Amino acid sequence: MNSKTTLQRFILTGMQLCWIYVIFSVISTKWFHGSLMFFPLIIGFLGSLGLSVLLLKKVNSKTYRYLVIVFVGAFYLMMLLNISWDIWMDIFYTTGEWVVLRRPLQILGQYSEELAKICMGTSLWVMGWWQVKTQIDLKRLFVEFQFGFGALLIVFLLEPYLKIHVMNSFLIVCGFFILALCGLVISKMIENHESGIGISGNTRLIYSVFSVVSIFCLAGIIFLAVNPKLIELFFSLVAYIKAQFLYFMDFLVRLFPHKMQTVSIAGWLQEEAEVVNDISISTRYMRGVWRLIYVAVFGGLCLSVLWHMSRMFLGFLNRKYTSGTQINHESLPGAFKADLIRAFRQFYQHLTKLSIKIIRFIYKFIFSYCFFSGPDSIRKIYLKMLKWSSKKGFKRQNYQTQYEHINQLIYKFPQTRSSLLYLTGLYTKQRYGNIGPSTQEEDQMRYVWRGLKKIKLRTKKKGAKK
Amino acid sequence: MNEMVFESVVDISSVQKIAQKFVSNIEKVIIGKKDAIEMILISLLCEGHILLEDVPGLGKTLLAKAVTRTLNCDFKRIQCTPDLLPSDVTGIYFFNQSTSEFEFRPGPAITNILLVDEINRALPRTQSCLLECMQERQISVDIETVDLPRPFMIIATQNPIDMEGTFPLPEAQLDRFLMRISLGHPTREEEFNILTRFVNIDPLEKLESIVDADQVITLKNAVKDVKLDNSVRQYIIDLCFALREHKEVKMGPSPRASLGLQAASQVRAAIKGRDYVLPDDVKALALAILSHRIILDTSVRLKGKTEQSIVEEVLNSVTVPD
Repeated sequence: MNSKTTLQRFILTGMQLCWIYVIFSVISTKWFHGSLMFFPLIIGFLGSLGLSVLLLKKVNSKTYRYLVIVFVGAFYLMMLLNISWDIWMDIFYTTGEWVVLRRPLQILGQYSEELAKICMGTSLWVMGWWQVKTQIDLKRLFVEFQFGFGALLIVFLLEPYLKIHVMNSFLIVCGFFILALCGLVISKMIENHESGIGISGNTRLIYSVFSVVSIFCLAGIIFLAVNPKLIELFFSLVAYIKAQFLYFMDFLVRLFPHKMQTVSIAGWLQEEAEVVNDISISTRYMRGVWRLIYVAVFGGLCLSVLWHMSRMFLGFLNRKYTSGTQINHESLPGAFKADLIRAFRQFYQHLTKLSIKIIRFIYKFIFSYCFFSGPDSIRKIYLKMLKWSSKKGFKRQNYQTQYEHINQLIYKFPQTRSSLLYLTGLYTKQRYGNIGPSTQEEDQMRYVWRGLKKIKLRTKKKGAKK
Repeated sequence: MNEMVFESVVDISSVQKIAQKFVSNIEKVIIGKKDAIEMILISLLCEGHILLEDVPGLGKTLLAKAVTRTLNCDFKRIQCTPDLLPSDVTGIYFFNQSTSEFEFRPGPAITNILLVDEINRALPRTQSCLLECMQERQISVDIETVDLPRPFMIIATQNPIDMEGTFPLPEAQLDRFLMRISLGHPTREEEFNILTRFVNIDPLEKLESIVDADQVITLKNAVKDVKLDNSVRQYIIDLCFALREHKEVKMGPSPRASLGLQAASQVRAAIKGRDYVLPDDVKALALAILSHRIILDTSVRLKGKTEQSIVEEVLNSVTVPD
């Protein structure tokens, strides 16, 4: 790995940390009514500031640099507005000359949080795009998108059911159970590694997946095991820090005492309530869509960070458990991520296959009776039969008649004789005699076809004893 | 004759029943040649002529005789020899001294079923006198033309091995035969059955008739209703064109061949109990109907290829309708 790649990887990791920040903010807004907002904002502010400086130094493309500057700058502006909105509003009101801008500012304040996320997200995407273009191909981007979308689906589907306090005990037990299982698997792997058996491709994959699962479990257990009162205490502490910050800002405002007479916080709050009521359905919908998109991406990159963490964890385990041995261990980092990507890809492929199967099931048993009865039904089944036979290695050749084709199959698999003859007979009757199957024949045809698919095709081995 | 079988002849299933009875009846004499018997029946219902070509002693003449016995029709036989004259086939006008008038004495050609044994031993001019009756179902003697009774069918036999004293059939004559079939040697089991069956009695003597001439005409009209899909028709044309355009074929099959193949396919479908034609019917008949109608280049013959192998090659290359 050369220095440039190292830097790019570092940037990617930093970006992913930023995603974590944003997803935290979303979660806090959603579940904790914003009380946790201050903490991730501060982390995000500091982290992204340093990161941005690094980025701006290293991004060679002028276009990307410009875009990054614009979006990151907008993000900081929005974030500042969001943190100290009350104070800024006080300042605007006390000057008295900003009345014209009051309404736009109110709207800006209303959406400052969302805008901040959008700006930050966009800037990160710009940087991510640059990174993808310079180092990784589009497949990687696609994979990240997939993960993001999956995470989004999970969050949105489980959100109404995630009653943390109710589910605490159950989830903790489950988490410990999975963690124990993971620990067993990992320890077994390490044992194999130490004993010189080595780690095969499949083993490595299992190793990787279980490691990630164990990290998730560990994080979940820690989170769930904490007493809700402690969480409240933590929030109180955060609120206290935030209040201190606001008092400080208030102190700054009070440096101009002659302006304080016109400040009316209560009145502004009432107007804000009206503004909230004015939000149209389309605006809310748009906000939902934005949230949907960004949460998807945030989720994906959050997973990426977890991979990095898992990788570190694995490195730690390797160092911890294998330091005493003289065995040269194969390096896992590169393969680790590839394994996980492959595993997730397979998972998605299976999901896709499952969904296709479900659709086919519905298509077959609900709509087939409505739309595919009559002459067309036997043709469809015959085509399926052709597909089935070609899978068995008996593809129908162009010069073969229907019966010549099935005779081949019958010769090889005599147990299919009656089914094949029945279906082919119906098909040829419809095809060349224009005589469609009757209702009874259709039912029988479906029954025969299902039976044919279930027949286990085993040929007799040559020289096998009877 | 079995009247019960013939009650509803227009029905395809009745055609199948009669066909089964026909085949099983002849199988009492000819053992193990079901396909050849079916071919003869198909040829009969198409009113086409059939050429049985095989080495001596395989039962060609016996098969022809069994067919004529099964059909309750008028039957004549011509044993072809090099001194056979056309007038011996068609008939002659002779002067009847008792009546002092010229009278027509019909030859053996005026019949329903004509067995022409060893046809390639007849002189070409005698062979040629069959051309008219084979295609137009009539014979012309002097100034008079006589229509032949219907159905009219020639069952000819020839020996392809024995070349001395024979006169190969001209292309025009070969084309008039709907099918050329060969019986082939029997299997061990079949030959055992032949030996067992022919020990004391001649089964040919006890063969009963199944259908008569009128019924054959009715059956022939019935099979015309068998459906022939255009795709199958197109397949027949594809086969003929593939043979005509084949680089190793000097002369391809004529339109008479495709007409014959179409009609024969309909009959085969009917005797199998179907009222529609399958590509399988066409394929099953193509070799018998097309192979004697093509002429190969001499160079191709030297390579050891035959008409049959070329037809099989075409059958294994032309796309069958889905």
